[in-house]
Amino acid sequence: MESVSEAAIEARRLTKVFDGPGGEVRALDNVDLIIRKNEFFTLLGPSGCGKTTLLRLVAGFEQPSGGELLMDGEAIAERPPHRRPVNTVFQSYALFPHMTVAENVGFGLEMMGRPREEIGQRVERMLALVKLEGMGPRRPNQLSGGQQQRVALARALANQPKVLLLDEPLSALDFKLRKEMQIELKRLQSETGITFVFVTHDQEEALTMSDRIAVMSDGNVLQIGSPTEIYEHPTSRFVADFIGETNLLTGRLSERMASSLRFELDSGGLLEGQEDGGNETGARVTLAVRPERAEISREGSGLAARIEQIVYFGTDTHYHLRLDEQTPFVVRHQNRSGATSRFSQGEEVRVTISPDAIRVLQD
Amino acid sequence: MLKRGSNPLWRFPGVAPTALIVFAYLYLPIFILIAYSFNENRLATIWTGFTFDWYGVVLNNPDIMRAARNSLIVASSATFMATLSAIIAGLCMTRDSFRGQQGVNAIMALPLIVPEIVTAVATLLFFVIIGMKLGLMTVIIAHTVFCIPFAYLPIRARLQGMDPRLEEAAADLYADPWRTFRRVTLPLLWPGILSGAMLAFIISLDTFVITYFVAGAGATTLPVYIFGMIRIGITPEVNAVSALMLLVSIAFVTLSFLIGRIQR
Ligand SMILES: Nc1ncnc2c1ncn2[C@@H]1O[C@H](COP(=O)(O)OP(=O)(O)O)[C@@H](O)[C@H]1O
Ligand SMILES: [Mg+2]
Repeated sequence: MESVSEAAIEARRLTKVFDGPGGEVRALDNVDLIIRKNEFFTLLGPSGCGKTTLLRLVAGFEQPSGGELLMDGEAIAERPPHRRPVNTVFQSYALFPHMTVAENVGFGLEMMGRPREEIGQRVERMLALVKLEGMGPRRPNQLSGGQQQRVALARALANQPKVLLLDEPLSALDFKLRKEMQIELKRLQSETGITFVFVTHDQEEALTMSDRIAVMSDGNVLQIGSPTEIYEHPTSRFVADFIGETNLLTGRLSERMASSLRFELDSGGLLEGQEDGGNETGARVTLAVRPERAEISREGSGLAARIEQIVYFGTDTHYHLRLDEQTPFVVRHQNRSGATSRFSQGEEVRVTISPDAIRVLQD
Repeated sequence: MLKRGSNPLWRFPGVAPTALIVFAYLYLPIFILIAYSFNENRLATIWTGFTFDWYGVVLNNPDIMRAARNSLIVASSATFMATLSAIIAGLCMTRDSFRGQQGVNAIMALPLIVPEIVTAVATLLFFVIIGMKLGLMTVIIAHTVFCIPFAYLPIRARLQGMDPRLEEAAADLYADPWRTFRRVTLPLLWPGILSGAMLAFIISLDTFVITYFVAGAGATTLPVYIFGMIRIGITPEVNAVSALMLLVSIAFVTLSFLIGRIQR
């Protein structure tokens, strides 16, 4: 358990219900989570899972329907947005169209009553930080999407908030600019030490940028952990499926041995594993195996499979296999220099999976 | 100006002549009215020569000048109050959602549909019942109420088109509700307020039926005065007053158009 002083934001059984035209929508359902100080925390999940709603509750634009929301250990549900030490980078940027870039960036400081010279200097520094020197006198509509995005970032950062909320800030940018901004954001976060709460539906973005990730689905937080934990040890089928590619195998925990376990698969064959996921012997289990953690060979003791399709990706090759009628299985093989595919379509092969690559899912 | 071929409507025969006839029908009488305001002859229908004299006569007629002053007082006061009410109503109607909102919206727009004569009779009855003495004040009140929907429509359209995230962004940047309004909502709403006020002003300047019913002695406005003049006969004086009113309207529209351009 984290101590209170470590938590920048804490949600306890936080619930938000909207009255939609088609009845109630449970946007957040008893969410428990702790966001630590100075960390890059990411909310990851498909569209409509409640990410924006959670940010809007933290910012104060919405009131919780139930549960508690703490900032620095203090309940903040009653505090209006303008009295929260939090700034938001909106998905749509929400730059003030009738103000210049400099006026936009200086708005927060002006509202805090800072002296004019200080605001001017800080605005200059912020614009330099986001590489928009000299753009101060322009209007937002005279900037490109990427530049507007950086103005929005500068406007939020200028106030040195305790927590910065970013709602899919990179989703409108093209691939190259997005990659640049990902690195830039990461750098800004570690330089300023501000707690970042970053929302995305892009799992790769989440994995590369975050200290910790909360995977959300349907108003629930399914798993919280570091990128490695989330990727290597998904606890649920949803997380395993949503983060990266994964093979799911169903079967039974059939036997316990001295230092390992044995699973009997529905598709036939036995697999040796290391973790039981808290299951009793004989229990039904779902196993997850990453495509890059399996190997194929012509002979040996692995699971029997047939190659349905071979897809060449340059850096690696994907083998789409079938263990039986119901069970597809993908193996990703990294291409070494010059090596062409050693296998051909329709070939019968063996799949071997090392015991430490097998994850037992909770559901 | 009219690019033939770009609009398929032009392919129908007779569209252009029809358009010309409609324009002529709309504007020819106005041109004639203005032209005859410069007619030397006392009889408005016979042209004998050019003169500015009638404008002098109008400007030296104390009754006309009093009516003009009344019109301006009424229009300015009614515009101010109607626009203010429309702003408040617009903010309430777009910033909150409540039950019966559709109904309130319909009621707001009702005066646009109700025949003016009905409004006039009802308003007169109302003043009589509450025992209010007819005068400039009753005209101002009646005009204010009548002008609210005209001011409200452009303001509400502007508010509905405004991104609600902008106000949230202001609050997020530590602006309290009042400063959010002053620094973000109001500047963005300005073009809507301007066109709302302009509409209200012109409607008030022009409204005859309601004014005729609720104006007491000494509260005669220009349209009511002109109506009185016409009963005696159409004179170049009438033409000159009308031309001056047109000038005021055009000046007003141009001004608000220019202000709108600068704002943008
Ligand atoms: N103001 C609202 N009124 C009604 N339903 C809403 C409102 N805001 C969000 N929702 C619903 O809540 C759910 C979560 O939305 P949101 O938090 O925006 O998801 P995400 O940001 O993860 O895409 C969705 O089903 C959405 O339709
Ligand atoms: Mg969202």
